Amino acid sequence: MTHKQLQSVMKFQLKYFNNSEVKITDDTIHREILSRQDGFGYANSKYIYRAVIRWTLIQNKQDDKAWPKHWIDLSVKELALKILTAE
Amino acid sequence: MNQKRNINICWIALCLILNFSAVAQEQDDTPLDISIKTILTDFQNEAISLGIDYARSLDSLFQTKDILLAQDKSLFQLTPGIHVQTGTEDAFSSIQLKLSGIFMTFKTTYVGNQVTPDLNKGFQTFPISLGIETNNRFNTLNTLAEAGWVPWFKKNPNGNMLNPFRTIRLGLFVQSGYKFNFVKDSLAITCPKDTLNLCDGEADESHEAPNSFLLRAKGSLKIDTQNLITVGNVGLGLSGAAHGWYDIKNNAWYYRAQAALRMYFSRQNNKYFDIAYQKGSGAPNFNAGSQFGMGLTVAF
Repeated sequence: MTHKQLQSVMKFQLKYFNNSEVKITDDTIHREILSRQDGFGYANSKYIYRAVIRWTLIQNKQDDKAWPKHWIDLSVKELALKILTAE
Repeated sequence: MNQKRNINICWIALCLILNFSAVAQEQDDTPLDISIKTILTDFQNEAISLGIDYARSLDSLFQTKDILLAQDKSLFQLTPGIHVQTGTEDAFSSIQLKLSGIFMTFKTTYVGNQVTPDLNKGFQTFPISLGIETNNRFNTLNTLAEAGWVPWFKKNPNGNMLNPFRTIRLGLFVQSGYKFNFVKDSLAITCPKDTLNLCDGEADESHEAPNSFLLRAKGSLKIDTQNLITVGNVGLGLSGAAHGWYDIKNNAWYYRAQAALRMYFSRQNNKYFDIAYQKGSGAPNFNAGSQFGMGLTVAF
């Protein structure tokens, strides 16, 4: 999976949780869209997003690596790069 | 005496916050929300209410692979968490420690030639949790297993979720467990049956008998408009939640309802000021009192 492909998947998934007029781009910060307060318990946008991106990586034969610190404060471009290049 | 103990509990909670916060800054993906409110209780006591939500993924706790089971059209992810509500005077109190997970079913699609869940077609989440719930006196302790259903709705073709579902969340749960009692009956805080609405906010008003099994059905409705309008640099929104419990074993109903006018101070919506009203404490005390207050919440 390339950076561009993962960025496309991330933007696609973020669009579902976007309840504002914010346009989703490679520079969108995850915290602007995702929250732990918009569901019940762990059925919330932040944890669901993380789960579906990890599912996507696993199903497309990528390593399921630990996510970076403070990933929610990273942009789509930054997080995709860190996930694919993590040790 | 009670006030001194409550203040001590607040200090302990603040120490835990600082500890969690320091750990969170070092290691984790911002798992901590803290809210501090000044409140007015049913007894017209001016009190401080402290709320802590702490959740972190297993990989950040143990630096190993998180528990994620990925099937063709479903997944399961497991996460531990802590929720604390406490305060001075007769503020509501509850402490919940849970190991929770979600089972999720969905349809799939291809984006950039990569298979991925298609959330736009709607999907289902089934939260499950195992844990304990108690109050800040630790005089009762419930062990509890919970399973539920939280649907997420389709989006319409132009990308906006169909109103009014865009900001409303619905959840249905079944809870079962065992209620332990750690104090003599003479020391327990109880409330006269004819003064249910004016009782101490810390009192256990549930019909669930100590040292007995629990069985409840729970329905929850939540609305959060997030940043609805912006006035100057401050965003305004509405937040509300209603939770109802049916005590199947004792044929009794409990509830918790809360509403807040929310003012956001950052674009990321992680710092906000609430003017809030809460009726009913929820589990484990199911106190029927009310609290009115205002305060700040920060998500780290």
